[in-house]
Amino acid sequence: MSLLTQEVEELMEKHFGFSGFREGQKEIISDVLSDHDVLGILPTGTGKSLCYQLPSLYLEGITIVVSPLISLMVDQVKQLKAKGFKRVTAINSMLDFRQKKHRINNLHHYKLIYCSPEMLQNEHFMTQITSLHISLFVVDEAHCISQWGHEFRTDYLKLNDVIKKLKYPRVLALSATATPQVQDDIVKYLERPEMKKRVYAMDRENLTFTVEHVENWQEKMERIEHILRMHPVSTMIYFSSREWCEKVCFMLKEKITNLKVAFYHGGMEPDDRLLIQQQFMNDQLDVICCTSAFGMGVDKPNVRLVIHFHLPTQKESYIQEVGRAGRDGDSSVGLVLYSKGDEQIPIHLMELELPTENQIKHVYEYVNPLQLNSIEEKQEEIISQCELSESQWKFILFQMEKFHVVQDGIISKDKEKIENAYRHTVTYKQERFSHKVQKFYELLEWVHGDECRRKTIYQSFQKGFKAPTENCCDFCGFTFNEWEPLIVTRERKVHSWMEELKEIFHQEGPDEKTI
Amino acid sequence: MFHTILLDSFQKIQMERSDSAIFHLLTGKKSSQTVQDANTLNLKNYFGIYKTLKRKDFDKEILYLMKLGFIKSNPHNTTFITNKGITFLQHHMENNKGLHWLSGYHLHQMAPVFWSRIQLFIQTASNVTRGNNRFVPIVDQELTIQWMKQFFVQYKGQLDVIFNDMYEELCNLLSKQPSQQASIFVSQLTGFNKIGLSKFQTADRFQMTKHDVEMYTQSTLHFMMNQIYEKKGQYKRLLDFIPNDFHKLPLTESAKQTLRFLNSGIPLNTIAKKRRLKLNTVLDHVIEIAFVDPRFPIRKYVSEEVEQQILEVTEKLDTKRLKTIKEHLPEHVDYFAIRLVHAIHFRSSNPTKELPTI
Repeated sequence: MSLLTQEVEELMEKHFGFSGFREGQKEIISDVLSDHDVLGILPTGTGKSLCYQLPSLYLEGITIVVSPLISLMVDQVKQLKAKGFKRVTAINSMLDFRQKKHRINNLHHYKLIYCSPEMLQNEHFMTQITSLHISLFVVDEAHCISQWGHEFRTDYLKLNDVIKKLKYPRVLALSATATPQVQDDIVKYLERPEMKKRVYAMDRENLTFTVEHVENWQEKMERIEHILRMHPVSTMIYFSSREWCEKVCFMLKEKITNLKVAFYHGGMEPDDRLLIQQQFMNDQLDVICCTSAFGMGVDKPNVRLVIHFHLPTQKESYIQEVGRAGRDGDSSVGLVLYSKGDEQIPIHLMELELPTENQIKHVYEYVNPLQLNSIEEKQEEIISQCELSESQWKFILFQMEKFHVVQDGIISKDKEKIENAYRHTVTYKQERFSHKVQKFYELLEWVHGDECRRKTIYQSFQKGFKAPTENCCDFCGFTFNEWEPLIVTRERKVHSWMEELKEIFHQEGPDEKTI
Repeated sequence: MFHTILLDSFQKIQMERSDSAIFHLLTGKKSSQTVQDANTLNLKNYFGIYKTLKRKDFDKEILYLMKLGFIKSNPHNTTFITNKGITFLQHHMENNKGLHWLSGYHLHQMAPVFWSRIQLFIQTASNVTRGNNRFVPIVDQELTIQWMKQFFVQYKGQLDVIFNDMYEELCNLLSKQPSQQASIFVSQLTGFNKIGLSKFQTADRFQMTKHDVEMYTQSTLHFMMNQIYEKKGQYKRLLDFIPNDFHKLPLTESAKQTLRFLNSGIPLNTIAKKRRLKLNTVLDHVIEIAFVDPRFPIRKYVSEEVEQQILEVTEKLDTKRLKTIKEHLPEHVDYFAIRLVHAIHFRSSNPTKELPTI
C-alpha cells in the first residue's frame, strides 16, 4: 500500500505539479486503485477530476468519463493537454462526422476518453470500446442519475447497461452535491451495491453568506457599485439571462472605471468565451458578469466575491456557484440580492424545461399506431409540430420508452399501452414540476429565513458544519464595512502597440531595437 | 470601416442585385453568381473578407445605414446609395488606407489560416521562452495545432532566433500602418501572462464596432501577406506562416470536379449525368471556371459572331442585367452564352494577377 501511495504521489508531482492532496482525494484514489467501486461526494473546488485523472495514468487500459456537458468536457481536455497530458480526447455530438469517425476509430490511442451519455448509445462507438480494455468507468455529475438530483438526465439511467457491456470495469461515481436520497439512487441505478461511499462535508469554512433584500433592480445596481468601490476584489456576478448579464456589465463599466468588467454567457462565440475566461483566470479582469454557463471548470483560486443578481433554481446550484469563491482558503463572500418578484424568473425557467400538458397530448396523438412505424421517421416533424425543445422531447421520449410505447425505435400498436403511457407521462410531468418548485421554495425559504445562513444552507445535505474561520453570515454579524479581503493589484497602463508587442516578445530595454 | 465597405459595395452593384448579393460576397459564398458578381462588379477585394458575419448582424447594419440616410431602397427590392452616402463614402475611401489593402478574392481562404498560425505560435513561443509549458492555447483548430507541431520539430533548437526575427518582421510591417490599425492587431495577440482581447473588447477599446475590428484585422492580414510575398527576402520567417496553396484557382469544390471532367474532354451533358447534377448546375460551374481561368476555351461554347453581338448590346444598353440584354438579342442566344461572354470580358480590368507559388 505504501509503495502504491508513493508511486501515486510521484505521478501527481510529475503531471499535476503539486504534491499535497486535498481532502478526500487520496482516499478515493487509493480505493479506485485497489479495485473498489466508489461513490465520491466531494464539494466543488476540491479537485474531483483528479480522482480519476491520476488513476487513469496508473492503470493499464482506458478510463472512460461520462460527462453531461460538452463545454465541460472540452474544458477538461484543454486543461489536461495544457498540463502535458496528451492521450486524452472528448467524443461528443459537436464533432463533425469526419473528426468523430477518426477519433472513434483511433480510441486505442487514448488513455482517457470523455464522452456524453448519448455517445454510449451509439452503436459504432460501443462496438469500438467494447473491444478495448476499459479499466475504469467514471460517472461525473452522478446526481444526474436521480430524478431527485438537481439535474436529471434520462440517458444516465442507461449506464447500468453500458457497464454490463463493458464487462464490469471498476466504477467511480462523482458528484459535488447529492443528498442522502440521491446517493442511494446512484448506487441503485448503477447496480453496483458494493460501492464504497466516500462522502465529504460540503461546507467551506472561509465563506461568508449574506442576503440583502432591496426594492428593485436599480437598488441592486447601487449596492454592487457601492460594494465594489469599497472592495475592488475579483468578483463574479450571476444572472439568469444573457440580456441582463450584458446590460449590467455595460452599466458597471461606465460607473466603475478603475475596474475591468466583462460579460460571459453561452450565446458568445467559443473563441471569445475562451479569451474572457482566460483573462479572468489571469486577473486581467476584475469583475465578470455571467450566467450559469460560466464557472464549470474555472478553477480560479482568488475569487473573493460571488454576487447573485438573480436567484438560481435550487440550493444545490447556489452552493455550487458560491463555491467558486475562495478556493485558496482566504476570506470570501457570497451575496444574494433579492427583490420582491424575483421568484418569477426561476419558475418560468422551470416551466420551459418540461413539456406542457398540451404538448404531451399532441405527441401521443402523433403516435397513432395506424400511421407510424418507426419513431425516427417522424421525430423531426413531431418536434417542430409540437414546438418542443430538446429537453422536452427527451422527457416524453423517455417516458414512451419506459412504458414500452417505443421499443428499439418501433412504435407499439397497442392502443391501451399508449393511453396508459400518456396518463403516466402527464402525472410524471406534474410530479417533476412540483418537485422542482419545491426545491426552489427551499432556496427561497433560505433567502427569507431568520436564522444563521450557514446552518440553513447546508442542513439538508449533511449534519453540522465546521466552525467558520471568517465572519459567518449576515445573521451572525457580518457587514461589508468590516470585511477586509485580500486584493490583487495589477498594474494596468494603456501601452502603445509597440510597447505591447515588445512585452509579448520579451524585448526588454527601451529602444534597444530601432525600427 | 465596415460601413464604408457596405456603401462601396452598394455603389458598385448599382441596384442590380439585392442586399443578399452583398452578404454572400462578404461571407465568400461559393456560388457561381457570387463569384461572377465579385468579378464583373469590381468587388473582388471584398470577396470572403468576413466569413463569420451573421445574417442578423448584416441586416442590422443595413437598417442602420438606412436610418442615417446613406442608402435607400426602391420598390424593386434593390438598394441604392444616396448623395449623403456618397459624400461619406468618398471621404472615408480617401482617408482609410486599410480599405485599399484588402484583397479578399485571392487571400480570403489563406488569411484565417495565417492568422491562427501567427496567434498560436506567438502564444506558444512567448510562454515557452519564459519556461511556461502549461497554458491553454487560444486557438483550437486541429489543423493549426498540427501545423505548429511540425513547425516546432522542423526548427527545433532555433526557437529564440525565430521568435526574435518574427518580432522584427512584425514590427516592421506594422510600422507601415496607421498606428490605430496596428494597435487593433496587437491588442488581440496573446503572450506570456497576457491574454489578448476579444473582438468585442477591442471594439470597446477603440470605440468602434466589432465589425470594424474584423475588417481592420483582415486588412492587416492581407497587407502583411502581400508585403511578405512582394519582398520575400525581407520576411523570411513570416513567409513560413502562409499556407502554400496560393496557386490554386479559387473555385468551389464542386466546380473543381467539373473542371477535372472538362479537362478530360467529357461533354457537359455526360458530366451532369455522371455527377447526378442538373445541367444548369454544371453550366454554373463552367461560368465560375471562365471567371478565374485565363486559358478558358470560349470558342467551344460561343462563336465569335455571337460574342460580338453580346458585347455590342451590353455596351449599347449600358447594363449588365441579363434579362434586358437577352431581350435585345436574337432568340437563339441563350443566357449561358451571355453569362459566359460577360465572365470572360469583365473578369477584371487587369487580368488575374498571377500569384507566385512557394
